Amino acid sequence: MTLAASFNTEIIRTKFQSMVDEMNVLLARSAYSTLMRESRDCSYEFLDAEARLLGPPGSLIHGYSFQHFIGSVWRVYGKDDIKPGDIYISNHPYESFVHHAPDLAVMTPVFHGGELVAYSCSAAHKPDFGGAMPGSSYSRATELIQEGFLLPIIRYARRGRVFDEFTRLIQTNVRSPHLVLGDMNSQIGITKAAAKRMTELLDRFGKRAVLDAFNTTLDGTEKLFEEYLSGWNDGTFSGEAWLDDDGSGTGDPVRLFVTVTKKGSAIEFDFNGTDPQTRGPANMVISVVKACVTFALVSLIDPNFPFNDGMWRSITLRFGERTVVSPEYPSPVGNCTQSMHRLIDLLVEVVGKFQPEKGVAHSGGSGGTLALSWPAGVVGPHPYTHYEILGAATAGSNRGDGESGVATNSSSNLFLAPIEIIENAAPLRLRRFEMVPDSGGPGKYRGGLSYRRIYEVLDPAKLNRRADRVKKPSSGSDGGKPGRTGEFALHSGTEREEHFGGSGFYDLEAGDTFAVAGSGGGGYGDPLERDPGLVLRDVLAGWVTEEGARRDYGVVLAGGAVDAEATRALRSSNGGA
Amino acid sequence: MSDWRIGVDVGGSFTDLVAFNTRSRETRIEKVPTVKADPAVGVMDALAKLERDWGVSGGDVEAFLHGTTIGTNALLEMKGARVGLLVTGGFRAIPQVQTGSQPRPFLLFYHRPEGLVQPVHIKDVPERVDKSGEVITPLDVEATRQAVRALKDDGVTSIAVSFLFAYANPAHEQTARRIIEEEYPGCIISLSSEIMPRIREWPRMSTTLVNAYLEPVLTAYLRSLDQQLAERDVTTSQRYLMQSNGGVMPFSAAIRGGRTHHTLLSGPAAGVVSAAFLCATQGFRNLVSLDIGGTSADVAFVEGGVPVEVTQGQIEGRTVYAPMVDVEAVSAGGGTIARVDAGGLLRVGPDSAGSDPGPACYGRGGTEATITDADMALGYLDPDYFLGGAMSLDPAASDRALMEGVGRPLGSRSPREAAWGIVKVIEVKMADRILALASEKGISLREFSLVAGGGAGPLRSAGVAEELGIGRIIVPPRPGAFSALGLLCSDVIHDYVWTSVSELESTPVDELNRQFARLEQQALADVEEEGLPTRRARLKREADVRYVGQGFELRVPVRKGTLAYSAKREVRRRFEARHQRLYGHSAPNEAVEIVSFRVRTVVPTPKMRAGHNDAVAQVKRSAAQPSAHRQMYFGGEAVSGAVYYRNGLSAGERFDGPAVVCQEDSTTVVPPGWGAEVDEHANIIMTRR
Repeated sequence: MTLAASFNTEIIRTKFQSMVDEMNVLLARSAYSTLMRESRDCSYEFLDAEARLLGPPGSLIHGYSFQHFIGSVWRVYGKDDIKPGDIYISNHPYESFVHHAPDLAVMTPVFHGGELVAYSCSAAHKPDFGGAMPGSSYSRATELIQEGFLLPIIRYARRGRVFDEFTRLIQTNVRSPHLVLGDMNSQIGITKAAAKRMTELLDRFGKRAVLDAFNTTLDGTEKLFEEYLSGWNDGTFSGEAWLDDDGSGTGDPVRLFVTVTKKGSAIEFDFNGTDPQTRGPANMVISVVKACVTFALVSLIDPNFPFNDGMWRSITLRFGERTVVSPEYPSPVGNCTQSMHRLIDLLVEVVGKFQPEKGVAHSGGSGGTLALSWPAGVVGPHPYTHYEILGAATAGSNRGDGESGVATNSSSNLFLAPIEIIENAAPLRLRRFEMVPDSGGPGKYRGGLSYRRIYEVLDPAKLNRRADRVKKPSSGSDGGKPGRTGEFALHSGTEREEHFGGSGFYDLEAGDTFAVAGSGGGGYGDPLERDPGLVLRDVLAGWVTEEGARRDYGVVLAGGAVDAEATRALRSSNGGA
Repeated sequence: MSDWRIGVDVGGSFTDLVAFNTRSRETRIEKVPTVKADPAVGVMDALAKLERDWGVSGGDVEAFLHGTTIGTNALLEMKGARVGLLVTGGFRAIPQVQTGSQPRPFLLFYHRPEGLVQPVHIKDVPERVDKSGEVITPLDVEATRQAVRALKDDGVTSIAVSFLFAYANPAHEQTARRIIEEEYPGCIISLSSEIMPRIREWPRMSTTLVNAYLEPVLTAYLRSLDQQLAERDVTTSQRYLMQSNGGVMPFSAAIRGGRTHHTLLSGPAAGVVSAAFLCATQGFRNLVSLDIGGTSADVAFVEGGVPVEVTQGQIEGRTVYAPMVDVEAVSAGGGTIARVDAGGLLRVGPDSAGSDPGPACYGRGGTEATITDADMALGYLDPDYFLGGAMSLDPAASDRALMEGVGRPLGSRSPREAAWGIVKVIEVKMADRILALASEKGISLREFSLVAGGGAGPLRSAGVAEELGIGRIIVPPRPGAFSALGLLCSDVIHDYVWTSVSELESTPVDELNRQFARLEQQALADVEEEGLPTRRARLKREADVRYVGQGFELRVPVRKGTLAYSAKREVRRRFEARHQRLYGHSAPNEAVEIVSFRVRTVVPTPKMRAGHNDAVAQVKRSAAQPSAHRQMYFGGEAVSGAVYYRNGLSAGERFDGPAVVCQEDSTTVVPPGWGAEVDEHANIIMTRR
């Protein structure tokens, strides 16, 4: 390639990426519902004519859905029948490979000079898409059909003409249709506008140059990725992690298992050994698994790694039939967000073994979600649902302690809802919001602490709680101990206090309280090797109790200082009381 | 005669002074190195130089206006006060969890910036107020006393108090203040209900902490500066400090306390005020200002003559609630590095060689190719006239770095070819970032002009403007002293805010009147206390409005005087128009609520008014005579370009590209296809032919 072509590629790549970034901002901004706009659980992407992802997606959560979505369009309608002005939509996790039913994917083709050159795609989480429960999230679901009103791959518009029957069909089958259709229309609007912007780019630089730039970018990432892989020792490592249960909040733990083999400049992820697909909604479709693999690789290589489908030329995935990571219709998938955190932690652990200089334990994952709903007339004229996603903590690593009270992994961008906003919006009162002492997994480098929030319900409400890690904690690494498990308790701090598993439904009376906490991050390295000065600092800060200092770290404190002698004695007597 | 108004802006490397004589309308400019250890020394150096060069002494000063980075530096270097924090009982996690999010994806090893308050100095005391301000748990006075004593014993010198819903009822915070005063006289106290009484507990607490952390630093600095000014015989009591909102406040107001959080972005804000001043005096309405330094570029917008503002921001990683001129940093400057990555792809940025080692041509050990090296190779920079000759550059080092880092790996034999490509790529990147920012703010760049500031702004401005489709560029006389100039164009501005969530339809209009009247009384009392004429104070009202249930608010203007019922309809209409413009839709059937009430006071100050200078009123147009010609490269072509010196150009002179204009603090590139003319204010106006 000539110098001029290299510069052209960098310019086209820059313009292309800023176009994608801008569309992601516009998509979130134009959203109708607060959920889509504030949580930014929506993303925009271009794929090339072969349905290849050309750059880091707006959201890892949706990024890998589109290639499968387009594949399904090819299968259903045939490649040749895709025409300018067509719009395709679907929220079906086994057709469009969105993660779960509330996500709607939209695609419109980009033509230039009569040739299909790219696909303009977006996905966005809707406030509701029908099904058994408001929010289309039902932890007791045993079939996909209970999780939402399913749209298979549908040609929503043909050559620019929208089929209104579909609009009415959707309108009839979702709750708060004005929000859902409002969001859907702005999503379609942005996807079409982006396609137009793409044709302007093609006009300016020429089709050949743009397509060359796409190929060069994919090839460049492939080479760069191979370069990184070649620097790792060849070998095979495996690991397992356990989900609390099948996503229903009841039943047995579910095993995730992966064997990673790196040879030369290729890497394989073999998920054989993972439990069969579950009856409950813990299952993950292929796009989720790809997102998890990407998270592990990119976060361990370099957070700024310019990944795209070029990277995937060196990656192989293997699955058993009908497992938690290769489910088939009609297995429900609504709890995949919780499963995803556990799979990411497992993959980071195993891939990390190829790069011993970046050892890290399991994070606390997510603190789970809360959905509290009140009937019409309590909060305004419509039924009202208050939705919160809680954070947890990051893990200890060989670089230092984990961070406390923070969203992690694929959902690290989520903000915690402010108390003053919650209490103004809903009949709720926060009673406490505190760090959970001793929740960080003990280690030479301690896992981050989770936090506990206690809520009081001021008006009778229904609570839908989803979480993992209430039974199975976040693992430690290299001698580090697991973080404390998360919790959900009703009537917290009273005689009636009662603890429950991860997911569940509860009917609450006015005055009832409940406590939620996420899991602490796992610890890294032997806690008996932790600097006693840091243990003292943690005790003074209220992060570790004096008892925990003695029990977990073998550190004895006296009068606000480390008792060096007693600590030495305790640590040498086989560590800890 | 005391008729000089003097603006001094302390930047990272240089302290800039602009002096303006209100009678003769003369302007004087000085530049001295910033003294990091004690910035006041640099200020005095600049004043001494002004006296030496122009005979302007302390007694001649009518007003002294100042922009400082003392606060942001202390924040960056963690050199603020030892702070204690009182929070509502049971809620110690608020300052620890903060927003609960990470700033970027894929960070396995993320750490928050170290807290401004150590966890051991976060004390919770039993108290609770609900959303309507009703007391649920009375403040435990004895527990508060003990907490204050413990903090005092630990050597805390500044205490922040930030209770839940203190904006709805500040009584508990006020009681806490009395207790602190009794237990610990002399301790600096910051109450969230006074600092920033707005809803959302963490941003309010963070702002209160920032104030508590920096107030001792700022007030000590101002007191010392006051004294040193007196020693230089500056007797005027008109001493003003620049704020993030683009207005100034008297030193005395800053020293009185509770306003430090308003002063943090004074430098960038002053630059934007300068741009707005160009609008006011030269008939521009809409400007993008692009200020490029060594490692980063600042982008801001002036729309309809008014700087675009935000009401909260991140300053050195800290959340601060305060109205501030919206200045966005873009990581692209002269030191930005171009290289070919292991995948064989060219990458320009985001890595930067900064100023140390800096570009290869600085000869300080930098070996990688930077934007400045590209400018060198293209013949835009004069190796012997960088910083007016204070530093000489090594063109051969630039060529070497360009060839090794970019040219050779991509199979080129010409450093100039590599340099041209690098420059085009960075210009596209800057332009794209500006487009994205504009689009985020709902601004369409049609009918915008570009103002080029900073040392490297005028080098890039034409290329960036072309990419943006902008046909007019303004290069101010001293692009490097643009911020200091802004100090002389600012009014005294104070902002007041109070949260009281009020559903618009059901809230009586008298309640709205009460809320605004209360803020206005406070505002006018402050103006009076500062010794400024209250009759000249203009009051502006705004409200933060949203649809009920929305997670964010939009700021809309509210009319003056006693509001009638129709004012509510007007608020709603303005809110919906703004919503429509930003988000593409509105919801006429949804309920709307006012979340916060805002009042701003503006007390005008005498300003630079260069526009009516008789001496330049009848400018004759003529062709400028170049000082030299040299080889320059545009689009891969070597051309003979004209070289002008800025101080040799007079109003009315015109020339066409290809050309460069050299001056001490900057270089302006006029590419082929662009023409330039010096206007009566000594700005270079570039237009696309």
